[in-house]
Amino acid sequence: MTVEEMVAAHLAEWKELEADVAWLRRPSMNRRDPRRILDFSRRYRAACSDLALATAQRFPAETTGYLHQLVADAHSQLYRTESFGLVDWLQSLVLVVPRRIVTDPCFWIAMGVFWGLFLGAGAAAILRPSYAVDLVGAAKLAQVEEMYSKPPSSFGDDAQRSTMTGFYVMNNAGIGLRAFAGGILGGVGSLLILGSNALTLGAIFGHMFTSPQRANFVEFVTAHGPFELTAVVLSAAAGLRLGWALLDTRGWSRLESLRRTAPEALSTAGLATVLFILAAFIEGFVSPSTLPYRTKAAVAVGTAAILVVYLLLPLFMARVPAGRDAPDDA
Amino acid sequence: MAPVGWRGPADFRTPEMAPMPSDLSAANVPSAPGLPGRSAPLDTTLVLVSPENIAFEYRLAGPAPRAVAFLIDLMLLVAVGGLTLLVASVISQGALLGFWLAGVFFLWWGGSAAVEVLANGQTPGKRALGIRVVSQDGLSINVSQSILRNFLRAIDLAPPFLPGLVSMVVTSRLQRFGDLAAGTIVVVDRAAMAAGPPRVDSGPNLVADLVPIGFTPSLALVEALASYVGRRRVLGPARRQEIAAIAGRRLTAAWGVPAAHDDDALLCAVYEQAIREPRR
Repeated sequence: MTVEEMVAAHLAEWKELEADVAWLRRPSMNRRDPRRILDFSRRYRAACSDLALATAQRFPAETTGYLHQLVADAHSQLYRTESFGLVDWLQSLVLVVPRRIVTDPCFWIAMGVFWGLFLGAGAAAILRPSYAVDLVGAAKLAQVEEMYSKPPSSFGDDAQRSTMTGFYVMNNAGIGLRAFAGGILGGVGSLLILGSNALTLGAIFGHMFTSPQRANFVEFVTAHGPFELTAVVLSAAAGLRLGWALLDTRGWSRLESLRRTAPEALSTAGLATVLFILAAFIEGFVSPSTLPYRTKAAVAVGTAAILVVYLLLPLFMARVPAGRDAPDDA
Repeated sequence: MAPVGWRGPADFRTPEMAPMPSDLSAANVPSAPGLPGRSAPLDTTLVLVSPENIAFEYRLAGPAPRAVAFLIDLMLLVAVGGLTLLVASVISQGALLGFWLAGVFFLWWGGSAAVEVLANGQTPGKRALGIRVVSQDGLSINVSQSILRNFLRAIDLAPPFLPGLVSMVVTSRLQRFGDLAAGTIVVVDRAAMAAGPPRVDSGPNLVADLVPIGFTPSLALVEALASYVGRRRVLGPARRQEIAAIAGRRLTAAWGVPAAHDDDALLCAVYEQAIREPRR
């Protein structure tokens, strides 16, 4: 059989396989029929043996190149893994993710770094008034003081509140995701973003505590504090997990260790993003509302309690069957 | 399936993950796995072995097409953002601005990921450039891989060094940080390629009778001739002769006939005969 005859004899099948691949790539799954899928897998195996023959017989590069592409495309459709189940995902979010977070040293390191720097900077700003000015800048401080010179309930109408909510989502959750992404540089990026945010926030808190606008400031920041500050810590913890995977490889190569850890870290970063978004809604609609301070404080206590229960309760529950909380082997 | 086309630390896999066919393992095929007799390509190709015991190649996409694809996606994002902002400000005088800001956040951080999952590894920019994201084991990417590589774009684009570009240049599979963490590669889609052997599209061959009757070129020579014929259409006449002379002079010397005045046509003649020759 000559090359030309061989190509002519199989071309129709190859074109059919191409059409099958294009059909399988379409996102709408409801049009799938089993007979065509059977035909597809038969054609795929036929194309595999055609490729083996073509390489063994040193067919022209055009033909082998075409077959390589065809087999690769079909292979990626035949062996695709789409195991995104909502139930599994929710179960993982409730049972696996919190356990993983609280048993992860990275989380406690991020906690320690954030609260250490935050409280340290706050104490320094209370003890020495020039500290906050040096760290944050006089202009920025004046802006913050100006903002809290009025009670939070006068912070604009509903339209402005929804605008601010959108802005908080974009800005704060964006910072969180950057802190996560920065972790791939050995964790350094996460620590830098976490540390600089802790220092700035601490200095502003300390400064405002000693300023005449103290009551307005406390009334505003109370309600969304627990979710927002925990989200910052979680983002950095997720980044640190990425960076740590490059250092402690558990017997894998560094890249393989990173690849295996990344889905775990991603779920933590995803949780942090959800918390940032919830915090943005509280910050946009509850914190500047006319509700009494007692209600806002109750929101803070409630959200903090939710976080504690969410993170710690799975520790006292039965372990999920083995394999379920194995790292998602992407 | 076990990726065997590159050597490096990332190759490490557990036995249960990689049911590697024993007859196709790298140890048994010294040159390029699955491609008997062919030396490993000095190229940006990645060879994977499927459960069907067949080795197939992916061509990796370099930084240039990927950068262009990203710029196209970015322009689309800006266009969508601008249009929606215009619409939102016209119909609501600012009340929808919050939704717009949140929408921009989701588009920037998750838009590409959503499109990649739905459109099988292709954003509009990647489709325009004919490239595609796949998992490094040759499968379609899944949701978590797609989100991961797009979250880590933040670090890949960080000024002033563009760490992603550096990473692409130094890794053997041209991966940016997002690809390394997600275990993905970007490959060239060659769906438009022709299947048949390349044809000689010039007129009647004047030197065809120089080829001795019964001359059977080796398979290696036919393969070389096929790739020459496939590429000669982009070469000028002088360059064709220069390249063809290398093989053509040897052939005529081996046959004991005077050198052909047109080596290009000579090689085409040998090739034309060879592809009509039955393969054993």
